[in-house]
Amino acid sequence: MSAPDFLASFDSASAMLTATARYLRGEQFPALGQPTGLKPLVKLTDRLPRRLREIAFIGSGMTEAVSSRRMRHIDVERVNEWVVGEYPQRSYPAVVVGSSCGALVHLCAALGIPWLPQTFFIPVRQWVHPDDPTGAMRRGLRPGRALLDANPDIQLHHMHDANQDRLMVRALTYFRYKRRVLGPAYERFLHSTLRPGGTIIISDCRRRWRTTTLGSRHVFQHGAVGGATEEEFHEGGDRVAEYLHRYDSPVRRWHGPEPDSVSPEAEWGFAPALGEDIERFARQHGYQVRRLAFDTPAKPSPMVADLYRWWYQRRRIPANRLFVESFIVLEPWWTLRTGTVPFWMTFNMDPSLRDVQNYLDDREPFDDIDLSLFQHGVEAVGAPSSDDWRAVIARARRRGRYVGQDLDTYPYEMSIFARYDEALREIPARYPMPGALTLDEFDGFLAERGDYPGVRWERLSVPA
Amino acid sequence: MGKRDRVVVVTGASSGIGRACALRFAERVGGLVLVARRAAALEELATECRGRGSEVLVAAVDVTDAEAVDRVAAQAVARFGRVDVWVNNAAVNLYGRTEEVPARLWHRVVQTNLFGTYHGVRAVLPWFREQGGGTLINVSSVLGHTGFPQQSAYAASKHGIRALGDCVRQEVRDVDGISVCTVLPGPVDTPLFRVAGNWTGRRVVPPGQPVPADRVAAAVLRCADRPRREVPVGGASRAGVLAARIAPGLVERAGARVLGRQHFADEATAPTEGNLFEPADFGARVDDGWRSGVDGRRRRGAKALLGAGLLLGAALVSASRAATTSRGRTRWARR
Repeated sequence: MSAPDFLASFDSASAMLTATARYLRGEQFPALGQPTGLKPLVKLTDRLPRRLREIAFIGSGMTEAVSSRRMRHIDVERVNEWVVGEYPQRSYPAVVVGSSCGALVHLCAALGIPWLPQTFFIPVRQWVHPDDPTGAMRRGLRPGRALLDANPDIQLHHMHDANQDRLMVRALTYFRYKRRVLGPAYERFLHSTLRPGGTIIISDCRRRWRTTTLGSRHVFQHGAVGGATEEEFHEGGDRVAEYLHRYDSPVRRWHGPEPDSVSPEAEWGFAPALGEDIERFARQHGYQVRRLAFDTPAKPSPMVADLYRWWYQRRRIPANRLFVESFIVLEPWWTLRTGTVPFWMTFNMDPSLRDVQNYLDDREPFDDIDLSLFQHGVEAVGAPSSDDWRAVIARARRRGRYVGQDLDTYPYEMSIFARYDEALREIPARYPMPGALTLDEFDGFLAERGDYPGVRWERLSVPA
Repeated sequence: MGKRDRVVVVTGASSGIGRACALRFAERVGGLVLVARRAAALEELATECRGRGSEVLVAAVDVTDAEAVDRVAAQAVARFGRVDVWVNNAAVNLYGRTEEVPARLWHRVVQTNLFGTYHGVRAVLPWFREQGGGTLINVSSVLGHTGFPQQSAYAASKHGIRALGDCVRQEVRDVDGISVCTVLPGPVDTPLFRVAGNWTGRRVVPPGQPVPADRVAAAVLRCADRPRREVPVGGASRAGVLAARIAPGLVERAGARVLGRQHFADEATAPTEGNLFEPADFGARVDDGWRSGVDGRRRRGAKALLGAGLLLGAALVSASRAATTSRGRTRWARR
């Protein structure tokens, strides 16, 4: 079953779901899960001037956009049917449900368990000025309400990020919906694949954002997790003014609607209503519930990287290699095949740079460091320089490598989407694909390592 | 990477086959790691190998020590950057009836030969996987295919080495660049006979005419260049392996009656542990002079006779089995 055509495939949830499911099917994740036949075309974009690259980037997004008139006909249960159809139908000791997180993809791979996302992205075709968030909000009202009327089990987070998504947001309205209940497909999957007494793990990202309420299940989020701070989106600042000037914007700060609420962040945050439904389901069927709560999507990355390093040492793998991943440029299958430690960055902005720097500061040096960077085609607020990234790979004791072609073309090198898996394949190391870790082993690892800042691994009591 | 740049590790390098391998590899590869218990013998060999053009790292290590063997692999990678060929050759021998030899001696043979090989495999495979390739060469024996009286520890260990290679070969099928070879020499002219533990009460001599250790070394080098699954060395070994496969019962009878007699001189000796626990203070050389002299010519004749007899016997047994099968089929068809 293919993904519903109203769903964005270049989104974190879709791509991470595909990567996880492919790993569990014993498959690789090349070209961000897109047809590999498109690779030569994507590589050709290296030859385009910057302006044409931007157009190509917008064009690629536009191909996935859906008409606002379709919103009232969309049945999001089709998404869940697609999700569960991606996974092998076998018995699992645990299943994760909830927030997207790249490190979680690797955790699921290590534990050999599926992840059922809560949040999905429907790109709605509408033209707006990127620096007019209020206008964008108004344009999203009617299609948003139509989507919600047709789907009573979801809540809608209309997200508008004129910083990182500057190219896309002018053509696409970002509708991110979050499931408030499991729904028939997820329940059926859990019932048929989760072992009796098995564990449902709630992936609970606590990232919140100030929002404007548009209805009981409808909010507008101005800005998004990345290089600019929440305050910069809402109140402006020097970096924002400089950025808007650089892009010839008629404004020097964004004038968005007044926030009146705090909501789970549109892309990453976990909506608690689903947690309540999971506990209800678990109670009814005798499952255990555990919660992996993390303050931001980046927080589990050091824990998962350490888990892999610990696991490799236990398997006597001599490799001491780090793959720094960015957003959806990740590859769980090749990571394990090459004995590589994955460190996932939320995106490619300053906070992510600091995350990887902090990790490297606190750990034994790696012999080899491979760096991937998602490319979004915007010199956004908070974008590190190419030299900043070079300094990261220079910390390798033996060999640092950027897995794209030319770091100087960051963030305009779309061809990295067609190259990152090839770069991983060039690593000569080949280790056997391991059997999965058990939850007890994961518990043991955490007991040995102690707490990770911003991450909580909790056992919830579910009364019978 | 050219052959000249390869890095080779040889265990049991101080004497016999290992020493012959080291000397041959020294002329052909860039880095050589010599492993054995005797540091002085290794240093002397290292000097000779350096003279032949190779860089040499010496590791005075007992292969029964798994961690020490691990360290050898790590040191080799640290020094040369990689390991391309690992030759598990270290071996000891013990003669005596199975029920009579002290258990700790029997254990020691298996610990050195089989566990030592396993330790080498365990140490180098992670690096082979990290590099995406490498050639593992385990020196087993024609006694890895058949049994032999009064050498049960040795034969059991050599069977184990062959089985270990077969298992590992299947485990590394997911990496095209890794090869696993088993070399099967017959009797070889090395100090092994003289330094073996001996609980038979009689002096040990090689059965038949032993092949030169350098011939086995040549087979090892051929494996390094062009890996093959199993390589018997010499016509007698090939015949022995073939006969053991075709007519194992006949080979056992021949071993018990003929080779058993050939293997021991009419000369009484007191029980000895040989070099099982402590390396001998002699024998740091390739051959031991077994191929020269009148005895040698006598044994050569016996070997030729034995080889021919084994093959003939095997052929007879095969023909007999075929006839039985044929008659059986006929009877079945008549019913």
